Amino acid sequence: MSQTYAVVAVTAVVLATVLVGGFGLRISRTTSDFYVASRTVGPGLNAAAISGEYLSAASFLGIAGLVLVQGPDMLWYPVGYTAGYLVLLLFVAAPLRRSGAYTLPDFAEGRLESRAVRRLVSVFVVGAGWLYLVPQLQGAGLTLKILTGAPGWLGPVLVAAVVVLAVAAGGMRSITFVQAFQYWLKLTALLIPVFFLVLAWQGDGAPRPVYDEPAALRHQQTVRFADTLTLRLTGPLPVRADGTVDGRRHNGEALTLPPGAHRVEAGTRLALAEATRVPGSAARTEHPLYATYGLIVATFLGTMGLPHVVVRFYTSPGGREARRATVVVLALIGAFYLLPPVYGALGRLYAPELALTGDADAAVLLLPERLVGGTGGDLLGALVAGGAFAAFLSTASGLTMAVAGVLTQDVLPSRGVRHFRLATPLAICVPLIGALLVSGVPVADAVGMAFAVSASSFCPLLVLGIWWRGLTPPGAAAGLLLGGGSALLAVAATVLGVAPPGLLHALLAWPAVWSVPVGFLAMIGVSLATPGRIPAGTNAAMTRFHLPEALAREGGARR
Amino acid sequence: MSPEQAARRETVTGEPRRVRPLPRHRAQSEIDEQTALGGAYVRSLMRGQLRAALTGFAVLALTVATLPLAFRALDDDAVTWWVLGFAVYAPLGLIACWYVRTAERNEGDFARLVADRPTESRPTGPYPARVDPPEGRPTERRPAP
Repeated sequence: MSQTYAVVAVTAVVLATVLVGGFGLRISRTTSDFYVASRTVGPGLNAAAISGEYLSAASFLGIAGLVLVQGPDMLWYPVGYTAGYLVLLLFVAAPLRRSGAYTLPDFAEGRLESRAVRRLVSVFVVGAGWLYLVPQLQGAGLTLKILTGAPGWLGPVLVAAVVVLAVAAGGMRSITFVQAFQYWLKLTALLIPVFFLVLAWQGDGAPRPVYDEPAALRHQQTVRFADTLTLRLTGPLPVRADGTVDGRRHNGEALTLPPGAHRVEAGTRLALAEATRVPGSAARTEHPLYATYGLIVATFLGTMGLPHVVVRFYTSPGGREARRATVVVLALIGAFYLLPPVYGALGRLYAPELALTGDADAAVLLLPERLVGGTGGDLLGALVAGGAFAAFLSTASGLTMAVAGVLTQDVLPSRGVRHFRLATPLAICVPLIGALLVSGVPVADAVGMAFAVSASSFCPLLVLGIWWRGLTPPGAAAGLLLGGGSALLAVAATVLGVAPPGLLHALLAWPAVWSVPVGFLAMIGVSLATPGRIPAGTNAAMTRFHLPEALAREGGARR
Repeated sequence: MSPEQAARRETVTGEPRRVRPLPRHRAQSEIDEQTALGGAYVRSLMRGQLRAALTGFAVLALTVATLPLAFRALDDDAVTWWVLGFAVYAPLGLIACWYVRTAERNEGDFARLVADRPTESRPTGPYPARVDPPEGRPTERRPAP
């Protein structure tokens, strides 16, 4: 693939981000501008910004990659990402805006009048934010590596640097413009190539073995393993091996790898003949139904607590507008999510060998070259690469903004815009180190873990905080610690690989099914046991959450 | 409205609103001042909104909980592709639109209920009598002492 076009596209996106951010800087004059864009962002712009922020590397690259490797069950990811917004709309959107909370810690303190709960929520916000930032940075590294052969650390460092510039300089107002712009960029970057890809597919006789399990190769392919890795095959795989497989040296002779684990040394080439059926990875096939439900619970209930999502609602002028913006967001991200499945399906047809190398997240990037080819393929590939970078930049800047906001308010000693700018590098430094050290978790799976933590801690806090007068600070703390804490530990155990295979592994990798009920039950149970601790301002808070602004505003108190 | 206030209105134009709020409605005042009656108003609004939210959520949850089982029973990947990749998004949007309409209607009904019960003006202190902290710049938001 021609590197020039891709480099130009990525550079253009980075420059455009910085420039649009700079435009925001010129009109970002007050502290209120800086943090919440003075709460004047209308539903249309706000919805585009929310969508732009929300569609991350997991959406842009990860879904197609997972569908390629594991089949259509993985389409629950985009459905969950979208339905999460519906649940957020139903229970949280308008009351959260009316609560006047800028971050989740603000909400917790405003509702429960407890500094301790506030601090606890802050810890979880920073944790979930960092967990979510790592895969964004890794996706950037993978993209640059695939497109230009750059070393893996360059992408994460580049994204981190741009984010620090854009966020620290312009704050929320500039980010709003940047992200609205990036939603449309991402949509275009997937939409235009889809037309050409589908045309090329039809020109190829519209083959339909997409639904086959496992996927079959359309053309002969050679897979080169840049790193040593372990293949876990669910079925036999006939190959011509050139390199070291399972400790034995091969020089281009044919062999069939039996099902099971195989260690492939770095530099090995495996040639796959036409019509070879490429078996899937065995990672999640042990308890697929449980994993599906785990995914559904995590994404449906986790969206409402994602730190960068909550901040966005505060930029709406009121609860009604927040609700309407959410509906527009649903439409925008729903439209976007029609596209990754197409890439996944075509990837199964034309690039199933990606499933072997662990670089399946690159499917979206490689398809234009493979299907369309020539200069056209290069140009489309460059467009997709630009869109992918927009995805990393927008989500990473939103998350960094949210984490830096929490760090400024609750960790660093003095508050103000200047300290916010100091907190920004700190907010992205830790996930940057994480992205450089940890690897091998698929982008969408890593994001799924952040969702699970959010669903088990923030979802109970928000839903019970908004709808139940009986919530007490000890109850909230217990729910956060038991629900969110157990999900966090389970996720950490999975990432570190200490979980034994089998049912326990499935339970730990997809904790939401049990950790969300644990969070809710702990919050309700401990609150019922401590009725004396119900905050004095509970009724006032409930009135504020649920009363339309038109009524509250007559008193002149709220803007 | 007292006579001297009316007289002042003749001589001074553009009297600042915050000095004396406009005539209020009784129900509105009840809500603002956290009385039992006001609490009952807010509770009724909350019940309506919660019912709407739970209805929407129940429809969503029932559909979604049965889908994986249905896919497993059908064992046809083509169906899974079409349903998850395409068909689910329209129902999600429909639930969202229904909910927003219901929620806004609930709020409209509530606003009318509150407005229907006018009362004489209450020249009491500055609004609001509520306990919430003043809304300033977000960095400065801390609860009122």
